[in-house]
Amino acid sequence: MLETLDQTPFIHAVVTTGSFVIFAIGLVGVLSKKNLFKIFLSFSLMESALFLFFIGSHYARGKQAPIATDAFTLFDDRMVDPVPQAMILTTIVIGIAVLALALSFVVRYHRLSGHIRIDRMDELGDAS
Amino acid sequence: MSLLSLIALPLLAVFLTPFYRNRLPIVSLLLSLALATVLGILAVRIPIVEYVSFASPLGIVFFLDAASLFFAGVFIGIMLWTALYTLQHKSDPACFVVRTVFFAGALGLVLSGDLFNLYIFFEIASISAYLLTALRQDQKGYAGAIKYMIIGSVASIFLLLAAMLIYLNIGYLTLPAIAERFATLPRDTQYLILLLLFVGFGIKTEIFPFNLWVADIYQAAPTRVDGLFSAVLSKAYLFLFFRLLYALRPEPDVYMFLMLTGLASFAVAEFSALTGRDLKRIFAYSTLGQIGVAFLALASHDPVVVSGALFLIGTHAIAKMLLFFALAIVEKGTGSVRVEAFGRFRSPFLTGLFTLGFLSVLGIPPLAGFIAKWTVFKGLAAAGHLWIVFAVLLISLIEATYFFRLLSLRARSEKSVPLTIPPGHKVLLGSLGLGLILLGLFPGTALELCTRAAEAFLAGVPHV
Repeated sequence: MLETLDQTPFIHAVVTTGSFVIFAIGLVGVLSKKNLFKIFLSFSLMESALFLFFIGSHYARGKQAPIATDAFTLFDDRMVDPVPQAMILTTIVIGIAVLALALSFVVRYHRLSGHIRIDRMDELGDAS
Repeated sequence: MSLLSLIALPLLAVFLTPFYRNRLPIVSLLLSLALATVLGILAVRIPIVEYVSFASPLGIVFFLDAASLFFAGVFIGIMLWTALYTLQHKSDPACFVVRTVFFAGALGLVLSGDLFNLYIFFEIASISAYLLTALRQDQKGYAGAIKYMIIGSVASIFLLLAAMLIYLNIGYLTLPAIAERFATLPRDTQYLILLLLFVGFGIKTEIFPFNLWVADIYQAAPTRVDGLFSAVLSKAYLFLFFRLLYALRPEPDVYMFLMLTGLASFAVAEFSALTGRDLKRIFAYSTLGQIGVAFLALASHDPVVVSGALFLIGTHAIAKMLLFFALAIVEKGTGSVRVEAFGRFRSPFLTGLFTLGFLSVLGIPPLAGFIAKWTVFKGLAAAGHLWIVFAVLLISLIEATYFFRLLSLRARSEKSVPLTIPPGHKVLLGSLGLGLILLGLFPGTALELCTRAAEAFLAGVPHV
């Protein structure tokens, strides 16, 4: 019975469900939180959920990581698809850069305004 | 000469900034001249398809056809004009770096031919746009940049999900390979992918109902940066969305839906502009309106209308650069961008330029905007969409109302604040105004270029 838990379709199901739960947590955070810091962290959570989903759905039981070594000199059927891995690796780097930039904006904004609440950001508008 | 040099040259220039940090205006000028030369050399042998590393469908594809040549030409032209304009300013490394990366990102968006590269250039252009918004480093700037980042993150999540779904279902990321196989997907998957792309690009192309944030960003950013946003950024995304759409060949009802979205976008933007008291916001809404018309025309999928849309994109870029850069001078002189300040400055030269810009955006003959709108209307009427022509004309009346209100304000109020405009800036701004008149009087060659670009655009991506 326990063997089914070790099969590829089951692992895919777990990864898909899990990543959608994480995505939902991030979405709720983005929509309900007023603290800018928490909003950007929620975006980061949503992105991580997408990464998990994409990498997880290309995982296959018994296949190797797509790294060329002495035993594996060619990309073939014994390896998992290398494209998602390369893609997600790059996307993680971009995500960190964007998050760092966002947080630095929040820090600078806090220095000038004294708060980081999105519902009190009323500098912009036709009245001012 | 490789296509990559169009993207690599600006990035290289940015990396070497410390070596010439006191001579950046001249470097910026040389860089844009070099890019214009490279584009000129490449232009004679279009269409060019270039693979980096592996052969398609595994490698990375860049391509240049008549459509992307048109957009790259417009962007490099604006880059050259901006470099000339900042020639008299003092060397500012931060501004140089961010602006050059911004142009590199926009060129990358136009040239790259696979989804993952598009995503990377999408992020490069977005990050530099966030930084440009906060360039003044004041509270408004940071508030605007934070808002921009929040909405931009939503867009990038939607696009990432779309790219993932395409890869999961098709197994390729290069546009030619996707274009070949997209029709074989189940209908609901096709619609899901199109919906994700529509939301992601809808935010970035600033289309209703995803554009309610745009006026805030324009208000927060420095006035001259608004000109670049209006002329370059939204146009690059517009190109990209329709490049993808024409390549994927969805069913005809999708095009009808997009035309209605464009029309709604135009209407909502013009009504919002009507009550505005801040000139940057009014011009931002006017930009949104024109993007709506261009979106509508591109979505019609008709060669004549699309060529008119491209002409509209080009002339609108010129007009909005003129309006925003002239507004920056007014802002510097009067210290305000409120409607009240617009009546106070004394400069017949700028009054003339503002009038030219307004009339061209409105589409009054004999200016360039008229030729663009006339071509669009002619094509729409021939394709049997006469009611859309009437709707657009009716909404244009609202646009005319607020532009003429601004002009009558100029005529009525007492002009007490003299403006000093450097002669170099006068020549450059004047050349934009002259361009609008000349393109209106002799549109022949430009219109032919647009027609050729439209044909290549509608044919989808070059085949492998």
